[in-house]
Amino acid sequence: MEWAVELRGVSKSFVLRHNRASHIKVRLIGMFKPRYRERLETFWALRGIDLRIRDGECVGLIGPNGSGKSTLLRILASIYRPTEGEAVVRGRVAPMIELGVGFQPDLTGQENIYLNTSLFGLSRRDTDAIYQQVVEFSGLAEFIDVPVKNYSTGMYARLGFSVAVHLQPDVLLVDEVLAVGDAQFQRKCLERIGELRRRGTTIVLVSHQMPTIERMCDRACLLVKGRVEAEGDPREVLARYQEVASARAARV
Amino acid sequence: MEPSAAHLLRYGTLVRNLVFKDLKLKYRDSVLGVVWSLLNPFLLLVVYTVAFKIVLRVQTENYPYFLLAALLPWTFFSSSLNASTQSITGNANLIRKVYFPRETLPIATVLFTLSQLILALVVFLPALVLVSGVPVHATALLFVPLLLLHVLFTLGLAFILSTCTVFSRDVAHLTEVGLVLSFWLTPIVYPASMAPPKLQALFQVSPLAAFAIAYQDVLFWGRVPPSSLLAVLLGWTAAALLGGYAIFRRFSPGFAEEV
Repeated sequence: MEWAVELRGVSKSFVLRHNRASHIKVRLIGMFKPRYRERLETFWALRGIDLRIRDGECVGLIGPNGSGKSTLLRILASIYRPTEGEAVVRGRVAPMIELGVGFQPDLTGQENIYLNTSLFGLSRRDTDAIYQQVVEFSGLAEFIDVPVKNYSTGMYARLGFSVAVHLQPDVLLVDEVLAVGDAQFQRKCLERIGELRRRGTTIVLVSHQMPTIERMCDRACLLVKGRVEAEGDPREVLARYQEVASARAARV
Repeated sequence: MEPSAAHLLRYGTLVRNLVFKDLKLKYRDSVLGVVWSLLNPFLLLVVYTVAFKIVLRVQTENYPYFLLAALLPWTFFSSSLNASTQSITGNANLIRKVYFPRETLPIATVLFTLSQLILALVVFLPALVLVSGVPVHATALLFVPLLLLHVLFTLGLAFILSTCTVFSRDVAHLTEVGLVLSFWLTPIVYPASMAPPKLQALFQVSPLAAFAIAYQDVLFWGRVPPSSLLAVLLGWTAAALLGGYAIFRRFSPGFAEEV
C-alpha cells in the first residue's frame, strides 16, 4: 500500500502575541505600563492528528470555523512545520489555498502564468509544455496579454485555478477556493478536479459545501478543536458533523 | 521537503522570474525607462565631485573616476540591504500561502540591485575613461572577482536583515540610519590617506572600507590590493555568508507564522 500522505501525531501550536511588541517604542512603554506589555499565549490549532491518505484517494476535511482545517492543509503544503509529530507528503504538492496568489497586478496574464508556475518549482521549459492548456482552460486567450489588474474577480480566479490544476501535482490541496466564481465556473472546477482524481491524483478538499464532499470524496474527516472527531464514509461523517453543529448551536 | 542544494536549483527559474518581474515593473509604463536608473548615480557623482573636488579641494587627480570606483559598488550594497529588509515582510501574503524556498526572495533582491549596478557601470565606466582620459589598468580585471565577493558578502547580510525584520520592524529603520553613518565612515568620497589616524585604524578591520579601498586600488590606482586587505575581505565575506545563511535557515521555517 502506497501512502501519499502520512501524519503521525501531528500537533501545531501558535504563539499568540497580545500587544505584540515589534517596535522598541512599544517595548519601552511596556516597561512602565503593564497594560501594554507583551503577553504570550500558546494556542493549539491541532492536537495529535493521525491521518493516512492512500495514493489516489480523495479526502474531505470538514469542521466548524477554527477547527484547524486550514492549518492542517498548510502543514501538508509545507508552509507550516508541525510543532510535534511528523508529516510526510510524497510527490509534487499543488496547494490551492487562494486562487491567483502571487499574481502581480501590473504583469500580463502570460507573465503571471510563468511567474506563478515557477513559484511551484516549475522550470521555464516545464511551463512552456503546459502553457497552451493553461490558457485554453482559463478561457482567457483574448486577454492573456492584458495586465491582470484589469481582470474581473472571476477572470482572476479562473487563471489562478487553471495554473494550479495544470501543475500535474501528485497531491492537490484545495481550500474553499471553489466558493469564488459563478455556478458555471464552480462546475467546471469540480469537473476538472474529478478528472484529476480519475487520473490518480491524491486530493485533500476543505469545503463547507456538504454536497461537494459527499459527491467527490472517498472519505471524510471531521475536525473539531484541532482533533479528529470522526473519520470514514463521507455520509456518516457528515451526519456526525450535523450532530456536533446542532449541539453547538443549542449551547449558544 | 528539506531545501537541499538540488532542491534550490529547481527554483533557479523562480529567482530569475522574480528579478525579471522587478525589472519589468520598474520600466513598464515609463517613457525614460532605464534613464531613471542612471540618473541617480549620475547625480551622486556630480554632487560629490562638486562638493569634494571643487568646494573642499580634495587633492586627488581625476576625482570623478576615483569617486566612481567605490561609490557605485556602495550604492549597490546599500540599496540591496535597504531592499532586503522588505524581502520577506513585503511578500507576507505569498509566504503564508505557498511553499517555496524562502532563500529565493533575498537572493532575487540582491540580484535585482546588482543588475542596476551593472547597468550604471556599463554606462559610466567607459564614459569617464573617455572624458577624463585616465589610463585603464590591467588590474581592472580584478574588479570582477572583487564584485563577486561583494555580492556574496551583501547576500549574507541580506539574509540576516530580511530575517531580523520579520521579528522587529525597527530593523528596517536601523539599517537605513546605519548605512548613512557607515557611508561617511568608509573611504568612498575621500581617499583613505586623508582620514585621521583613528579612522584609518577602523579601515584596517572594516569590511566596508576594505571593499572601497580594494575597488579604488584595482580601478583607480592600478595596483593589486595588499594581501592583508584581501584577508579581511575573504574573512568577512565567509563570515557574513555562512553566518547569514545559518541564521536564515534557522528561522525561515517559521516565517509563515510570523509575517
